[in-house]
Amino acid sequence: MKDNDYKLITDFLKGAISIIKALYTVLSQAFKPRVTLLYPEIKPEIPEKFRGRLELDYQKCIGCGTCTKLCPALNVLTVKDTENDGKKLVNIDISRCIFCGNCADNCPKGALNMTKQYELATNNKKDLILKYDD
Amino acid sequence: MITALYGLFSFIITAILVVFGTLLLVYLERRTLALFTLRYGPNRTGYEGIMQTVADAIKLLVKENCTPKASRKILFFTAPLIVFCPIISAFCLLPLSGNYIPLNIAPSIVLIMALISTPVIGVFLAGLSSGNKYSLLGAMRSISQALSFEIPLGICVLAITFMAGTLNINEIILAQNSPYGLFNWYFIPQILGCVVFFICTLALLNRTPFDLSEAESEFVSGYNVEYSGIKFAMFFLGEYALLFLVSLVFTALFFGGYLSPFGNWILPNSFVFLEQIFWLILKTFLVILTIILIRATLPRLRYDRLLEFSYKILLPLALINLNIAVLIRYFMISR
Amino acid sequence: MKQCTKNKMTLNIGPQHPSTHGVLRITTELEGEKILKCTPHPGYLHRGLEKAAENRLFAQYLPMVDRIDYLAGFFYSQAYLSATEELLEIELPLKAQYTRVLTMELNRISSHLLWLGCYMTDLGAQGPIFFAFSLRNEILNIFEKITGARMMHNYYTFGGVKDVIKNDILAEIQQYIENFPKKFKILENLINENPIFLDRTKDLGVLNTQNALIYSITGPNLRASGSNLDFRKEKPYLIYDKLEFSIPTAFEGDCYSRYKVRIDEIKISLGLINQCIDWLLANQNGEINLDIRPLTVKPKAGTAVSYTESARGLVMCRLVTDGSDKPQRVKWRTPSFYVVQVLEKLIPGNDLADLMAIFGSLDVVIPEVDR
Repeated sequence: MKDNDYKLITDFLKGAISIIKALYTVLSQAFKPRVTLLYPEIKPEIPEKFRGRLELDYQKCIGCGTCTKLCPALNVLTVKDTENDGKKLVNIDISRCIFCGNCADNCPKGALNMTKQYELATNNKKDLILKYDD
Repeated sequence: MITALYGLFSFIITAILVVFGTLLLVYLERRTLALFTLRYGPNRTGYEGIMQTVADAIKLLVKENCTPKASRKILFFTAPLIVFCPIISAFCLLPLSGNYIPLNIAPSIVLIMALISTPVIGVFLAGLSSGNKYSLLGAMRSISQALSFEIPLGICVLAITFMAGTLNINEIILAQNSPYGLFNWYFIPQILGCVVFFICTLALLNRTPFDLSEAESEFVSGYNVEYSGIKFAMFFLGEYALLFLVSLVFTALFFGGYLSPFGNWILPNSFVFLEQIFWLILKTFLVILTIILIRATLPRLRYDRLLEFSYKILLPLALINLNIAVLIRYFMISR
Repeated sequence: MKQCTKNKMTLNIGPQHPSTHGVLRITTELEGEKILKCTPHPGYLHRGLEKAAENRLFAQYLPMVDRIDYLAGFFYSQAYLSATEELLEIELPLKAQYTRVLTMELNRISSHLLWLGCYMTDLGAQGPIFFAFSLRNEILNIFEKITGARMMHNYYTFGGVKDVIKNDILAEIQQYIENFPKKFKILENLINENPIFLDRTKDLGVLNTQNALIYSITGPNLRASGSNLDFRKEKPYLIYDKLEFSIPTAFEGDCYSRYKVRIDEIKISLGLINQCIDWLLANQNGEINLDIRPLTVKPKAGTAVSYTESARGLVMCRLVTDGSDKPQRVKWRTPSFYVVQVLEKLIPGNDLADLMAIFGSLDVVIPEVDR
């Protein structure tokens, strides 16, 4: 009986000490720098390889269709024929893009790039469908 | 006539102070909780986010005030009032400075304890009249939690009245007055009572680690699940008003209320009341900070462990504390 | 009031959870406070990822594999590529293998940190989740520098990894690992000896070894019940047979030992990452991938099964090909699926308040269950 009581008291004291230690630990976090960024005044640093919005350099595109074959979201990039010089065109639907980077990594001429743009919300869905027909 | 007008005037002033204080306290809690967890709190609405509570209150006010069909309408309507109104009226009994006590009656601590215990009835009515068996279960849990934690609370207050020799809260504060300042306050001889009182207030307020009735990840819904709009705002603000009230009572009983820790007043005689209000606000602020710190740190206790904790640990400690108080008072008188 | 407490009551813990496990519906039969029966109903997050493989090229399916369990995406990429590379009959260069192991162990740490934060929120503490997430945020920033994305990385490719990890990023990872124990001590101070936490997790939800093996549970849940089965040592893949590490085990099988096993796994992963970085810094030259063009991937016809030890358990990918450039069938064996099955045995007999404590400690991620 005495042993049990002794254990009870030591457990209680150990518990109280660990709670006080926990409280002190959280109190000391109040003096550390904040982790959140005050967006939109302060924006995070974007590394170079960041996969943001797609961008096509029309002069370099040869219309091979590699990007269309490799896109997992199917129909993000469609290659269409034109009447002028028979060159194929690429339409990009950003609203269906999953930003995987398959197309940009495997483009043979380096015409497709992923920019650092990530703020893509618009009011108009047609803004997100890019047709390169100039 | 003049005294009646004075009473009415001071009551209105107190009511306004309490409402503003509660709104400020909600904002303060969110900011300090964020301070302890490496974030900013609300800092966009208004200057540094002060209008956040006003925005929340406006949102609650314009929500639809729906009453469930299976509820008892009159009880459903009065339950938030019973929770909210006693707390607001209890603020009139508290001394804010030596001269300014809106209502100074002889057994004021007894009346304060009675008014703190009244919201429990409101909680019960809320659960009963909602017509929802889950909220009834939640209300039953809240009530048994509140009642079982009030017993050690009452015993600690009893010990303090022994030490001070009076039931009037202003005189309890004045009994702690001495040139030694800090060392004569009651938290030193009554350290056990201080800790027990603090834990019991956490349980009365339904705050972590005792907030089972409000928790979202425990699936028994609380007593206020059917309430929306202004009635929910009354429960919500009532909890914060009770937090403010109980912190003020705690500092008055154990930390000397508006007394200065240096013993003497720093400011000249005619401005002493400013200094008293300053010390009161500072001490209450530190107590509230500790309550919020506990919320940021500890997980929740399970319901049956909670009741075990109250009856098996807090109640014996409170009784031991009462013995200590009686012994100290005996030696003080006989000297 | 008597009707509330005496008769049996069916309570539906609906698909939307306040805690972040995902969408799982659990119907429980209660008598008063005790749970008598408990039936989980998964399927609310089914996305058809196994069927999606049948219409896509091998390289087209690869980004979708990351999304089966988005918290531990590297392991699934490794499982899929391991099966494909077995059928392609290619051998990875050493530098690529070390890079893959490095990223997988970092992913294991970030997944366990997220589990820890969410478990503490289930139990009611609101502080630890922010500290755990701030640690995890730094790992995600490192991933962003290496691969270009914080979560769905698409970094592994057929024959290796896409790009070399530069030396300054390796130095950054080394510095993160050095500072990690001190920052993790904050979490440990809050949780390890907290009497409320101990009271809520000790002797709760005990899963003994026999039950765990019958239900095919693997990973930290199994290792907390006494077995030391770890597929990094049982069927070594990549270069795990060259690295030195031990397997943490516990014997009680309750929620607290599952917590302890995951904390120890984080510490062991730190040692593994250090070994990988030392090797990578010492061997600067080396091929990073075999330069296989994605459109030319055409494995021979056959079946391959790959074993990977993910953060939650064993991930198996069975790939059936028929010689064309699209897979014929991909079958995923995900660890959380079997843990959801054992809920029927673990939860009855406990109070309703313990359901979240047990369910949270099992680390079930619903996207894995429903694929």
